[in-house]
Amino acid sequence: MIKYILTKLAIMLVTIFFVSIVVFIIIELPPGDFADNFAAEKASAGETLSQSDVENLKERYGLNQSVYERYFKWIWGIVSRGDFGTSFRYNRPVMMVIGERITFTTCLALLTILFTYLIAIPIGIYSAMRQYTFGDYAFTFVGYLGLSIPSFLLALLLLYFSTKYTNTSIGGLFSPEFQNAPWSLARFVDMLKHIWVAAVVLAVAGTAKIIRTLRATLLDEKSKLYVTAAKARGVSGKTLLLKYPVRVAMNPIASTLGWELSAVISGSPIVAVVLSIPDMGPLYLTSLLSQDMYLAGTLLIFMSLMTIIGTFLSDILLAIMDPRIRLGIKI
Amino acid sequence: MDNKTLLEVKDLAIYFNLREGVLKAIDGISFNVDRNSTVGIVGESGSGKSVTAQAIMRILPETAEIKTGEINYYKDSDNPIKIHELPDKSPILCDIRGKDISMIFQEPMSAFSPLHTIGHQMIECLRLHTPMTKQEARERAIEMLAKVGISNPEKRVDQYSFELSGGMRQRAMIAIALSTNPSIVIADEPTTSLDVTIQAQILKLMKDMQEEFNMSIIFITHNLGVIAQMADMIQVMYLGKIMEAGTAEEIFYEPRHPYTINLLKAIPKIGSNANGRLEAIPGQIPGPFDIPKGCKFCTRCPSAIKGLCDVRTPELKMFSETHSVSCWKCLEQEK
Repeated sequence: MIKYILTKLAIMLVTIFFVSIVVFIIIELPPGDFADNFAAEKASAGETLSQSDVENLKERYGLNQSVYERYFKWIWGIVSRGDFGTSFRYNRPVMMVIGERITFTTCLALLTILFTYLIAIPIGIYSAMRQYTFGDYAFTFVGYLGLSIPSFLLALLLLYFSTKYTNTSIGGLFSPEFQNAPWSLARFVDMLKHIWVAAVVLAVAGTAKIIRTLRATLLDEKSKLYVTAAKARGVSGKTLLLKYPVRVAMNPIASTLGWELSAVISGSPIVAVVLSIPDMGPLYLTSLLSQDMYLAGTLLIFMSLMTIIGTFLSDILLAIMDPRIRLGIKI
Repeated sequence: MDNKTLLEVKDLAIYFNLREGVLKAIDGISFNVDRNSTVGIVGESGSGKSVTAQAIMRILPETAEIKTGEINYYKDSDNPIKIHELPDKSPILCDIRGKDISMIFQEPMSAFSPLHTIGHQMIECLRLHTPMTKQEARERAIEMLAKVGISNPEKRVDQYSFELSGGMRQRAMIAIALSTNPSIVIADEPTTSLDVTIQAQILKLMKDMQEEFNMSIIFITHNLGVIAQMADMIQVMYLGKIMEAGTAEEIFYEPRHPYTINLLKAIPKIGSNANGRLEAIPGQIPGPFDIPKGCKFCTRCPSAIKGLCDVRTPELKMFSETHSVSCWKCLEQEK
């Protein structure tokens, strides 16, 4: 088990290293750099920057150095001091710009996953056990509805009904009195009160897939011989269902945790904009537009990291759940 | 009912309600299982022998239905437990399964849960049916594994089924089935997935265990050689009907039904002409949805009587106290 985890951990680190290279190449790809972009922006506002001003900017931000030099400096800063570079646009360290937003995004993502599983797993089990009944069809219908309605529309609808009927706005992240208050338990609770709407909206979109996967796997598993054999030994009812086929049917759910996490993160920006939640989404967009490369790079790396960590967690979860994987048996 | 009968199957019919129509898997069979004896059920695939086993355990698939008949289990008194009448979720039924009647499956690989250790599944079964503590159940499990000839049982008990060899898995399966000291063990082709040497070991093990535990065995197989070694009484099934029943001697030395006779002829014999062809029963088993009228074997029977065999079902005729045959030709010959 320890060997298995260490192997996975090593693979994870190597993946992160390659991701950082790819990320850097991608943010280098568009022509020009932040200084050119800045000059163009000023020009469109009617101001002109002299050539020497632009050169000065390039000098200051180190944009004249070669790509390799900049990459290794950036990586070295991250590895040695946890310094992700400076955001050109905000003129502050990247970590300070995104610090709080990363917390919101992570909270939102985890909460969404939690909701998705809480909704989808019981329904999936129900659908498989009551195949072709009214309940099965009804849940399937609702699940597909959730899949096909765009998340931002659902967010808008929720926003509309909540202001109309409860007269409280569920948009934003904090109630006015907590807006600028320092972090406290009360503020955290207040945040949860607001963030759950976004989490539910995002979760609804993901449930259909999990319901269908679980239903199909469980239908397969429940007629397998080991279930019949357990029944023949006198095991019955819920124990027979939950202990045997459901546990096997959870495997595909556990193994896609990583993808779920990245799907939530890439799906959240629009919902976050609609519900005015200051998470990473909007920041990411502007950083790409203005070629604020260290900021964009850090955000990209962070998103990839979520996927990689999600996959790592999946692997460990699978190993805990399935001895065949833990013991490295080829099936 | 005399005292030696343990299980009575009377006029049992199991139909499957499928999309393609009604499949009559078993169509009125009767037999008894005596205490401490072995009943063999032989037949080709599709003859309904496994369905018979599933019906006794009441682990039939959802599409199956007990159409008519009785399964009476004489646990201790003259008041039988009517297994066929018990509702699916009945606690009596759950207690019979694994405690009074247990089952050995054909494929030990897929009959064990891949996510639970052998010991876990044994302990679960023991604790369901006995007041044992976890520790006691574990000791019993280890004892049983040792008894069925598994070496190093303290280690095996914590292993998964896929870590054991095929023969070991079937031994573990037998250990689970016997751990609660059942009065009937149903063995559904227990040696089919094993090679011949292991097969002989397993058969010997089952015989030894039967002596030690005083149980009855219902032994289901398509292998006549195996049944000859194991069974006291043999039921020959074809397309959901019992064609001929009798003691092992009667079936092997005085077969009367043309099906049994042809089945025995089809066994390859040592010393017969190596270049000669193997005997085979002509024709093919009819599909499950076009079962012939009258005697089910009439389409392939060399001595079928036209206008009689393919019209009316022959009645069961007793030729001795134990030997019964369902065949028009045999009835005619007697007259």
